[in-house]
Amino acid sequence: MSDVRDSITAELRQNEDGVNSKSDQVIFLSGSSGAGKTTAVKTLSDSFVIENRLLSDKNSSSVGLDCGKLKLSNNNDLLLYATYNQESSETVLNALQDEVIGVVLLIDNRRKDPLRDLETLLIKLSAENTQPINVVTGVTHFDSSRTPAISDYHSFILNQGLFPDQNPPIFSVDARNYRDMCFLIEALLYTLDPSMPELLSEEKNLLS
Amino acid sequence: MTTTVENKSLLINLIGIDQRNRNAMVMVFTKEQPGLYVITTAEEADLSIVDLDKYGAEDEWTALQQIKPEQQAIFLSVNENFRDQSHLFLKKPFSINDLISALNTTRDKLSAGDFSNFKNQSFWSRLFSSHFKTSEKKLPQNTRNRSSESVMNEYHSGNNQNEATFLSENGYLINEVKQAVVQANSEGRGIKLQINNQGSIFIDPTEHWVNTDLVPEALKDLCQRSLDDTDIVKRVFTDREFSIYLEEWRSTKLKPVDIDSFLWDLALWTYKGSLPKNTDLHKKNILTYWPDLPRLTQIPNAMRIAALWVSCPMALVETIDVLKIPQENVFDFYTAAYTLGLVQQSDYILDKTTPKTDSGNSDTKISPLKKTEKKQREFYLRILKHLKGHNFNE
Repeated sequence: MSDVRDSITAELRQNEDGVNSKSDQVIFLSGSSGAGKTTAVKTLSDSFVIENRLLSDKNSSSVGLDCGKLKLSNNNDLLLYATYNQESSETVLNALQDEVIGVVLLIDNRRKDPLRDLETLLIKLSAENTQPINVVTGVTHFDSSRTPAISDYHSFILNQGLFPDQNPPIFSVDARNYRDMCFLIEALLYTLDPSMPELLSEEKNLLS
Repeated sequence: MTTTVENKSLLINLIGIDQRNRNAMVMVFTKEQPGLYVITTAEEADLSIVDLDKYGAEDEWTALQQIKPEQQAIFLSVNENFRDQSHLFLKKPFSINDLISALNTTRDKLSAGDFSNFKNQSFWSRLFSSHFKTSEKKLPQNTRNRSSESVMNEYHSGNNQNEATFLSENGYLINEVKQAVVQANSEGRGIKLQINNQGSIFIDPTEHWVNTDLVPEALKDLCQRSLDDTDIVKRVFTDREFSIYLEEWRSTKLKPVDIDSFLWDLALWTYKGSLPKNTDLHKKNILTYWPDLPRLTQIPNAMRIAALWVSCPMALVETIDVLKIPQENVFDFYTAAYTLGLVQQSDYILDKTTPKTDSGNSDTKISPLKKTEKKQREFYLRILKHLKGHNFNE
């Protein structure tokens, strides 16, 4: 499976015009069909994006994924991977376990049973990873379907005992909206380390 | 003012004590003997509490003795061999009372001798000296111990000085709206609050919306005024009336607002840096779940406070100190989250030997403040910097 990652990073480097990028950390996006995973990768990425690429390893198992990149300083980049389907998610996550900072789950609130979608994803995640993995959840298309509410997701996770050691952030987001997607990534990072300083947003709050 | 021995603080240095137990001790000292025991630096302390079972603690104590041979110590260990004639010893596990008793003994010993190191300052003024200054102004209400009240009265942030005050919601718009939301949700009916002839607020429990024709400035003004009973007329709609109302509302083209977002703003406008009555500054705050921050008015450092309180419950004063952020950020976040029912105040737990309840009571939920390794932290900061396009120094 490392072949798959090697081919992704090789392709990314080729498109860097000679810059030897050391893409060493990953945020993984997974979620229900139509939730906006590809859109989210495009929204957040500022660099080359591999879209709808089918990659195979030596065992001929294939994964379909999108990949984007945040070009950071010091020749370190943050890669964003999103897979087409659950099977691909499992394969990629197994290969990248040590490099994944966290997982962004996107849930389409218009689907028949979005709570079950979340449950399925979380159970898969906990089964696939030997170490606890940090998860944030974005609920998309909330304006089209306002139920379940965000509080329903939290109650569901609590009642199902899905994340006994975590109380993961769950936000309503628009995958096309850069600010919304930033909230998810920020929440993931501050969950890992709340002591990091906050960067001031230019947005004014209503108190001023 | 005359200074008495009883008013002097015993300055304590902790060696080999992890952050979790350190926090627990702070809470114990505050609760049991407010102002008497102050956790401070090794150089300043009268006494060290040394956990000899922690790697490096014994070496650290030995090194400290070279510099401050007069410093007293209480040794903690599971191993009785560490017991000696010259230091108090507590065999693990020990109770809070054992620790307090040992501290009192040390205090008595020192009281009989040299008190030159004892500082006549209250606990919080020393612990949070970077944030608060002592004041003899009117004390805030409902704090648990008087020694800490006086230092909570004023806060320095740049050129601003804000008073930490407590506010009862009774008679304010926010209280009426909260009650209406609860009633609307429980009965599944729309409720309209008509506020004089200024405008109305309609609670739609089915869509979790608020419809209002009041502009933000009018709402701000209403939030800050105490209202009479006659100012607000509440009306519970029947299903038919509800349908008719919604038709009319849609024709106005006004946009509905999410109930949580509406309450969040009301809280910020109402409290304006003060705290809800009965808030305990020293009780740990547990965030039951994250607010939907992208849809709420931004409060600086809200993300950090939320991340902290869901994983490591902390008191308001601790939060200010640990995150090194302005008091108003913490108070604003607390009042807004409190208004949404997301925050609970809970007593502390001393250490992990405290038995957990079967019910999974949130009182037992405590974990040390997460902090990543420097290299990883720098990487996260670069991501944050990239996302915000912000140039900052770290």
